[in-house]
Amino acid sequence: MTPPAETDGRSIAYGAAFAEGLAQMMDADPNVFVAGEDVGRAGGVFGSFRGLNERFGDMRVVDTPISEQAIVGLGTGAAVSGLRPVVDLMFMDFMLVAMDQIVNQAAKLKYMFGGKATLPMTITTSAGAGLSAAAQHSQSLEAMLCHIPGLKVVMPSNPYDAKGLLISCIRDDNPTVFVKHKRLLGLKGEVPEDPYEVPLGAASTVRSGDDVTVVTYGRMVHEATSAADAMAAEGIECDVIDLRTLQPLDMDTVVQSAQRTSRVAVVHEAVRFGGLGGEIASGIAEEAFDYLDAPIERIGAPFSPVPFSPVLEKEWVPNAELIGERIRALAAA
Amino acid sequence: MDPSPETLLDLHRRMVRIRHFEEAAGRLAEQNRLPGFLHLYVGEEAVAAGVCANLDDDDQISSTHRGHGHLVAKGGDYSGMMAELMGKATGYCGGKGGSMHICDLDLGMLGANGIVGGGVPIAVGAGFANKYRGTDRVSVVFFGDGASNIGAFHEAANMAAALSLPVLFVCENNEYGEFTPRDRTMAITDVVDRAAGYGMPGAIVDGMDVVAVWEAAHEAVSRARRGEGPSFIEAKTYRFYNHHGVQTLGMKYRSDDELEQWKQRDPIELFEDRLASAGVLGADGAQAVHAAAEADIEAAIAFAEESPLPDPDSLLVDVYTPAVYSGAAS
Amino acid sequence: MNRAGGPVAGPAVGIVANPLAGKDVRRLTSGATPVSDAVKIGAIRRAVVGAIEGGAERVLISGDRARLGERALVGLAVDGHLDVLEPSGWNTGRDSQIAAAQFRDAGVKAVIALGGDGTQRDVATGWRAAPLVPLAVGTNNVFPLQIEATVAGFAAGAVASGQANAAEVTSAAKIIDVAPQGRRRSEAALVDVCLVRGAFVGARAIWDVASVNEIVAAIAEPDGVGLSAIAAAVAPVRRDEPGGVHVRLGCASAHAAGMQNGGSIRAAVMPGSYGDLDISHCERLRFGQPVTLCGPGVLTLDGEREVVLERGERAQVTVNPDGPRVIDVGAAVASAQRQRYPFGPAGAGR
Repeated sequence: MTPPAETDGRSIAYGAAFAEGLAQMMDADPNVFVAGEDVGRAGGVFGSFRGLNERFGDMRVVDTPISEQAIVGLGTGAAVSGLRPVVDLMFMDFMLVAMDQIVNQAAKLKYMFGGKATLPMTITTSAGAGLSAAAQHSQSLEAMLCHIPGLKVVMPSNPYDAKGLLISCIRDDNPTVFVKHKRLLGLKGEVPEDPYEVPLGAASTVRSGDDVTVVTYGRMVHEATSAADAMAAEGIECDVIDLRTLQPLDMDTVVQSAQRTSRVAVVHEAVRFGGLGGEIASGIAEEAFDYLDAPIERIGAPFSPVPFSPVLEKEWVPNAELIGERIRALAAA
Repeated sequence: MDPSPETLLDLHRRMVRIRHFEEAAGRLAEQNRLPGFLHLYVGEEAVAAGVCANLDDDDQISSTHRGHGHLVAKGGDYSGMMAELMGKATGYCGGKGGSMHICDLDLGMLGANGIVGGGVPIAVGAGFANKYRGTDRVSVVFFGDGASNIGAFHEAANMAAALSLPVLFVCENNEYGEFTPRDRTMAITDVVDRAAGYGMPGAIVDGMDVVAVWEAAHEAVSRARRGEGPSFIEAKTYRFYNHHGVQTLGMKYRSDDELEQWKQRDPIELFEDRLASAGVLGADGAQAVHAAAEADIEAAIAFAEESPLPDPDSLLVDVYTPAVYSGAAS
Repeated sequence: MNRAGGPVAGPAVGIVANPLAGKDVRRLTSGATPVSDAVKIGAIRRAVVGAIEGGAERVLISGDRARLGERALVGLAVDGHLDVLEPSGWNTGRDSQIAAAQFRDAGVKAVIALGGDGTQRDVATGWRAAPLVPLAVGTNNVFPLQIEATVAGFAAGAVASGQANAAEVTSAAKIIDVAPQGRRRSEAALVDVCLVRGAFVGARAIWDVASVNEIVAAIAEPDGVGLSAIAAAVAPVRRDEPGGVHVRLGCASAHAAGMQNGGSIRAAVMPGSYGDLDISHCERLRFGQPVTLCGPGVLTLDGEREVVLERGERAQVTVNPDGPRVIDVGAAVASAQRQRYPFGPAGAGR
């Protein structure tokens, strides 16, 4: 498929971009189908699958029982039999119910079978706090997926990437996990109508600066950009890198930026301890230690489940203000 | 009602080939010539043979820890299997899977599985693909009585029935989940009682009688091919060897008497007696089948032993499929 | 609970529950009803309650690997001794045969058998003249009764305790004796014995009726289902009339050749399934009149393939009048109640 097309000025929401990409892949490839809880007649709990069932029918837009293991197994068995499934797990928290099928089966089949299996399956799901959905409907669990050889993981931050990364995931011959952020579903942005791919494993620099590198992904891209804007007013210019794909990780872009700025902050919404920030920080330390002028800053949620009450939840989720404070301190170090 | 004479001979050959492979693997393990765990299928041959004789290469099966028998029954190649058990580069999985992940996708064998119940949802997915494509292919999932207690089984059974998929659930009830007797882990005796709960028909067959298994599987596979949805067969069977490895007698978790009682119903001996009485295959003919299997297994062992070990550089090969879209042109 | 079937004191009822009943391949072939352990456990429990209520002081229950009896008795508080026999260990129909024989030796006065035709046959094989309430909890239920287990239990209890007069409320059922020549073990059936083509018992049930060659039926009632329904279509025989019927099936040419009593019919050969058959010969049998069935083939007993006859082997089959003494549940209950409640209005059928 062609590299990203020029935008034509059309602006649609993140959720709509996802649905458009999915519909276009279903149009292009009769082996693509989608299965999951409420994806059919209901159109998805967030409307992400609206209209697909009417258009493609019950066999290609499949309402499943609330059975996450069986949903992923359905995708795995269908993929290994030559179809190209998209299976939806609604909330990322529910993925934990299906971890055997994801981790022990889908991720490993190809390797265990000596390369003979091909598993072009995309698992889609929604992560993130901010809707008072509490501890079992708000988590960001991407780090545990990135730990598993055989999986690819993406977390788009904007409508353009949502569509392009989804198409890349569906067209990839490996099990991929596409993680939407619930609070981004309504975010509008320019999205070309024609299908296009955003390549897996390629980060994007969304703001350029020479003083501090801010490495982030998903919804935190927006908080980090806000913080960077505020810092610019104080004379601190940030390189903001949107990783887009978390496995495989584009460490080249990160390391090159770190070598230029000598100061790095890693920001994610997931709990800081054991989060992807640690992996990124240690990768930078290995590749660019001599360039660093300050310890690498890691910003993530505190070590607690996601709370319910809006006031507590607001305290839990990292925000632009917090990120700005850390950047300021980092620049001064 | 009876299978044709050709089918009877085919059933016999499949069982004999399983037995010889497993006995040879057991001997090699006892001589420390195989790395890793080994879960052997001796005693349960009638189930895999009776079911798989109803399938073509395009029909899929998913399997269990105890998966060698299923692969042999599906037509698996001794040499590739034995080489895999030895961790050789020429093995079915290039030495990356071993006994618990042995597979042959060309034969529709979607892998043994190290996770109890893990293969059940995968076979249901294969069944979905068959229905999606509008074929009359079926998928069969082999699982044990123990696996019927894990969530994956229940989710997948319900889904197969809800979506009316061409799937046959074959429960090999050998009375033990690893080392614990079934009656300590289930309040029911017959796993088939669960089938009705998912809205699919189910039947018990004598898992030591290959013709009984064949007949029941023939009916169930035909139902699936006609688009009538999933069905369930519980085969009452028994493993003559230990949960893993070979050791049989003197175990604490089951009695020698019980083992001996089941061995009186050795599925191969029972069948050979019937074949002889029915004039289908005499003792000499049966012996020739055993001898051929034995010769094949000796050749496979020699092939495996002479085969190269995997190149350490292959360690990271096949973690991922290279990023080339293999789907429809667009 | 009870170590074995030694003689027991007091009026005793035996319950045979077959763990294998209602679970065979006919659920795949013809939509037959699945009968779960839970159904059987419930029926045992209700039958026990009825038996004690009917006057039994002891109830013995067959033992099996499914532990149906033990599970039925959990938490059941009744005024009587309840024992479950040790399982015989066969885990086949032999279990029911052995349990019935143990009941006989223990002095049990009435047996309730939970299962289909196969289970009833097993009881009759173990105890030929068992005083029996045959309760339909199986696949094919020509011989047993569709009746609630509670009152079935009561009837058995009433007969065991003498509150109902056994001679008045029981009548001997017919039995088909099967003697394969040259073999020590003879067999019995209660409904029909057939010779089918083939050399294997396989999954036992019969669903390919085209393989049936001959039928000897003791019961061939128009409202029955199964292989006996084939005979019933042309020569009905009630369960309470003497003798039986012998039908030979074959190609229509036999009929065309002018054989007597031949022709094509359709019958309910299984629950949920009708089959076309050509009858080439049909005759009524007197009690004791032998029919010889010749191998090669497989003998079915009440619809299940049981005995393989090799080429040249023969089996002599006869319908006889001295089968299990079947208890008339309604009559037994009424008899007991007449004794208990003598104050009802005259002429009310009492």
